[in-house]
Amino acid sequence: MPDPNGYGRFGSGHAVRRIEDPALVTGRGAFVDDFDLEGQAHLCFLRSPHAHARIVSIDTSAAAAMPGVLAVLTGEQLVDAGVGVLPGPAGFRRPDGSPGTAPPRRPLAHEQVRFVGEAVAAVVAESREAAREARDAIFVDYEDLPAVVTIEDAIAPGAPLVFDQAPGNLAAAMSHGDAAAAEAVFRAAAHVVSLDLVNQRLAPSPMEPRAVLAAWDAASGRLTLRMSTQMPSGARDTLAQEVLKIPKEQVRVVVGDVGGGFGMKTGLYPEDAAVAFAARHLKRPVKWCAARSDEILGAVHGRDVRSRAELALDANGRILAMRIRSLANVGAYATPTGVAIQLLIGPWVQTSIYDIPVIDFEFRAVLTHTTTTGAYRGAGRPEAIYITERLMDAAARRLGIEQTELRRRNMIRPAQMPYRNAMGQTYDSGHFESIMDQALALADWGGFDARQAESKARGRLRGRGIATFLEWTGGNAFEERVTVSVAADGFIEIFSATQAMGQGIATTYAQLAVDVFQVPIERIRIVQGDTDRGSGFGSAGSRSLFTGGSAVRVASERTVRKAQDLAAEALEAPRDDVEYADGAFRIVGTDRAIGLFELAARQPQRQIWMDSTSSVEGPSWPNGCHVCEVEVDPDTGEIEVLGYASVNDVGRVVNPAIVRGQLDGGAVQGLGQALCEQVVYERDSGQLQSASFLDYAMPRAGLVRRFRTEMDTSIPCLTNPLGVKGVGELGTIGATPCVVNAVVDALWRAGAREQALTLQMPLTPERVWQALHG
Amino acid sequence: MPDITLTVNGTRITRSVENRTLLVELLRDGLKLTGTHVGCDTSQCGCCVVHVDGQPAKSCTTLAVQVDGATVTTIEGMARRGPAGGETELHPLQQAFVDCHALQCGFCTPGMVMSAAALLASNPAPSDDEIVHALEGNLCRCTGYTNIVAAVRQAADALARQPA
Amino acid sequence: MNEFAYHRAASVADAVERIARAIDGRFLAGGQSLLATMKLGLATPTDLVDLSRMDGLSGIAVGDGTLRIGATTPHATVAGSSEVLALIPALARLADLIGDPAVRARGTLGGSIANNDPAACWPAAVLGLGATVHTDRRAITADEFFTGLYETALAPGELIVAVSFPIPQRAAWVKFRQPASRFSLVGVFVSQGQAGLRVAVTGAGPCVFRCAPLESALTADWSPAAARNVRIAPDRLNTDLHASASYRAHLIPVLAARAVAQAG
Repeated sequence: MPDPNGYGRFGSGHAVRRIEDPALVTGRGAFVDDFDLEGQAHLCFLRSPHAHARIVSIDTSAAAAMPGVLAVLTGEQLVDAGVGVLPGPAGFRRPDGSPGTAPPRRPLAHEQVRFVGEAVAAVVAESREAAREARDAIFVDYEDLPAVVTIEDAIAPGAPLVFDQAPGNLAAAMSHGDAAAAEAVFRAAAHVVSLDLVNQRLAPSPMEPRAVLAAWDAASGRLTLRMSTQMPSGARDTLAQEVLKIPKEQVRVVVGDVGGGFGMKTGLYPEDAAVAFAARHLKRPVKWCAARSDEILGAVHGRDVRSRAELALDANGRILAMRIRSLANVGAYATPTGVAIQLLIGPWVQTSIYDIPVIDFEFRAVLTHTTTTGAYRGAGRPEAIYITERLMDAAARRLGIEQTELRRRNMIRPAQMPYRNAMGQTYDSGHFESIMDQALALADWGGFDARQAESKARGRLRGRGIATFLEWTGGNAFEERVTVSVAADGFIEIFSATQAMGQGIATTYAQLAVDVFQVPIERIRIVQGDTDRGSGFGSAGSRSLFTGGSAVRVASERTVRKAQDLAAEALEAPRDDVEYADGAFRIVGTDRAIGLFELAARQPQRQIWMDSTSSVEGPSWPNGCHVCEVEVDPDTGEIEVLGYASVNDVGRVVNPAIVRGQLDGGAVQGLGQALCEQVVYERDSGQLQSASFLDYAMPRAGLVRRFRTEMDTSIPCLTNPLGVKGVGELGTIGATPCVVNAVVDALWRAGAREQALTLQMPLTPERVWQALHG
Repeated sequence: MPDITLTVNGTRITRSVENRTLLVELLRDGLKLTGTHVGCDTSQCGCCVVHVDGQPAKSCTTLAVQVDGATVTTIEGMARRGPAGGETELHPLQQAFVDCHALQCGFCTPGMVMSAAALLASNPAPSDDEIVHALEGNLCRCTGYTNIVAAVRQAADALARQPA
Repeated sequence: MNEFAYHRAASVADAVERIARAIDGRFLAGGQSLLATMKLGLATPTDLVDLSRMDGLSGIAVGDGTLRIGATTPHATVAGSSEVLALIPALARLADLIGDPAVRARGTLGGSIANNDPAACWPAAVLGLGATVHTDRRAITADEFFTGLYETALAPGELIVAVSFPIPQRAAWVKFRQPASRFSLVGVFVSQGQAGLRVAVTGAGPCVFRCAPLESALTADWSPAAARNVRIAPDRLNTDLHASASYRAHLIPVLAARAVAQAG
């Protein structure tokens, strides 16, 4: 077989070592704070200590007079300067049909503050220390107002309003399905299983806090922002069009390395806009690096939903209907993303892999005096699948049907594909039962009793949990533009507007390029992170491979076809007589050939250029079965995760190591939610009690000792040319219900049955101990 | 503003610092060694770990003046420069991190490598429990840690096989 | 942080004198507590007096039935000391569970007990062994030393020089970690020896304390069961984000029982 260059080992299917790594592992990463610009100034924010207050006055005079201070900005100043607001949820509706509403989200607070941590003023100074010292000299006169931080308090009659135009603190709501039909089914059903579930608020906590370095160029009048963002084009567009009200061509966003995103870095933040304004105002570069407290206070939080969820089942455990009433706490300054996640995106997968004909869902987005919620790994799907898998687990127990058997009876069968679910979403592929069977074998599901006996001999309670589920990926953005430049210098440069944040895009795309160009991987350069090079949706919703990668494949193929035409000309042969292999075009049956790069050198621009836009046909539906076993110490309630096994249908796999890394890394985030993470606001004052890693408990090494993670690659996605399914969020979505169900199992077996079913996250030792003994 | 002198990655340097200047600020701002990162404000995350006189230290919780006269090694000092300025050779830990896919976004990686290196210097054949114990002060949000532990094991084996 | 004057003390007398001359001076050993506090703006000293290069303040010496540990001895040194491992292994275990390797490389015994964080580990060992705190001017017994939330019997400017621990017959330390900070949510140090039978509890209240009900029960019957059967009232115990007072009250005898089992 050809491949004299040995490139084949670096194509799809191989666990190629990442091309990103040599720089990162030697400390030569390109994170925002690693860059300095001549003359740069430093910005820091003064944040509100109140959950709700009227700003009576802000006295910046002392601060402004301090050494090294260049400016002290307030919200009023920005409003006077014509600075606009960031987008709100007007695209959604309230129950009375009026547009979804939330208070205007400004770069700096204006007239009122509505959450502890809201940015009230910004100091720009010659040094970080000077900025911080001046910040401490700003005097804000607040009139403290009553605040509501919990959903219950926010929806109580007479509750203080977050926004006058949102009575009842209701930002938006959506219903799906048929309430009357569902009610009839529930009335007649042999079994009804209900659960009240809380999906608690989380802080996404990528290890790199947000950072912005903004510079304004007087000659061109252009603003360039270096940001840690997953969506450079989106940030540019919002900043230019909504906030600064300048043509978007006047703004450029560049991105180097991003130290983790997980959805938290998908939209424009108020702080980003304030930094941009400061740079333009001062005509000097301005840098802001968030401290971790800035992140936990001011970056979007994830989840925060309370649900009453019900299943109606027949005597054989077949699900007849599903009914859910959910209240989502979207914070004070609700955003379109935060609302969409709860009202629409989660609901799309609510019925998951089960054939559920009738649904009745009501989702309400509630405003409170807390930080805005937004995308966090899974974005709506973890909330939905958590509900469904807790319900399935409870239903199995209530009906006395074995866990896997109940799932089996309700799973959509391959013959039903493509399957349109009750929310109108169409799944293209999936062999859910097969995936489950493989996972049960991998996890040695059948050997549990012996292990449980062994745990019992050591005084420990053992439990096993299962989650079978699917998820939706793609962000609803299926088109992607890619440019390819085959250059005379022997390199192929591919630009994509998707955005790396640790998920290994550069390596994966390079592997896809190797498949097509059949040259050594060192010849491929993947370029991202520059809105001047191209626009796009960016990276979110696990779309970078199936959407972005498909576009890279298509663009590469189009490039080869274009080059083939050029080669035919160069070789003076009919096009059909020319074939491409191993980096060169040959006239079939002869040894007359021209190398790809040699061909490029002959072109007018010394390159072969392709600008390719292509689309995939729809979302991908990755799915999996996750199984875990835990041991509970009955004396303390401590949980140890003993085994975690999963079989995942992610379609075809380009780089198995990277895919496993996404699954396992994602799973640990899911375990973090289940076992230890929570954002806590003090109910009366609205103070954030979990404002640092001293109190926000992050998973550490040793939480899981070993993952057994397999991918079934035999069920390709049918709606994109690669046959891949998005993988970035799958692990997180499965892990949370999987481990919670395992703890439920341990408690149920120990006799604490009702307490098991009413367990809520995080499963702190005290909570578990109370369930056992309380 | 006092002058301090220290050896950083084998090079003796003298700088003027404020007493309140943190070691991480000296490294990043003063010496442009931006491989050491700041990920939190309460000394929890470990992204800033370097070696001071051979011991692991959180450079965000160390004053530059405290290390006057000391030897400091950062991530930039771990790889070996090739002979006569040739190809750089990664430290076995760095190579192992690459081989084991023990990094994704790379932000925690320098601190992880430095913590792991400190472990292997004092315990060349650690058990998995010992590796986990040694990494308890290093947070990673991306990898889930299992590949990191595997990388440290691999590096321990590689170092054991190296001629003394 | 605020700027401050920085001094390297050459001797105990030098250190004490510099502190006395400062408007608001603090001793700096490892800095793992103090610098963290200063970074948050919760402490703003005008002067820091660095003890780390002084002779005689660091080190471990075996005396007549005692183990004397210098105030600026890092936790890692205690954790790895063959003398400590041989004579009071519970101290090595305690030191090895503080923070993480970087914290243990710099953080010190003296710094920890002078700070008297309600969730710190060393106070439980000092109180739990009936140790003596030696300062530049006197000796203070463990029972007198820890007086309240972040408060000790130290006079302003008084410098801890060493702590001498009576070598017990047996002792153990069991720590239940707060999941975020890894400080003690509840930590119990139990010992039996020349200082009597002592049970010290940290993390559960505003300050480390001796648990009289457990000491009585174990004096009568040194056994895990005897400890386990003690009921601790939750009054005056901490409730916070991570645990209620009643859970802490529950944990104290559970951990004490484990400590008794470990101590042998």
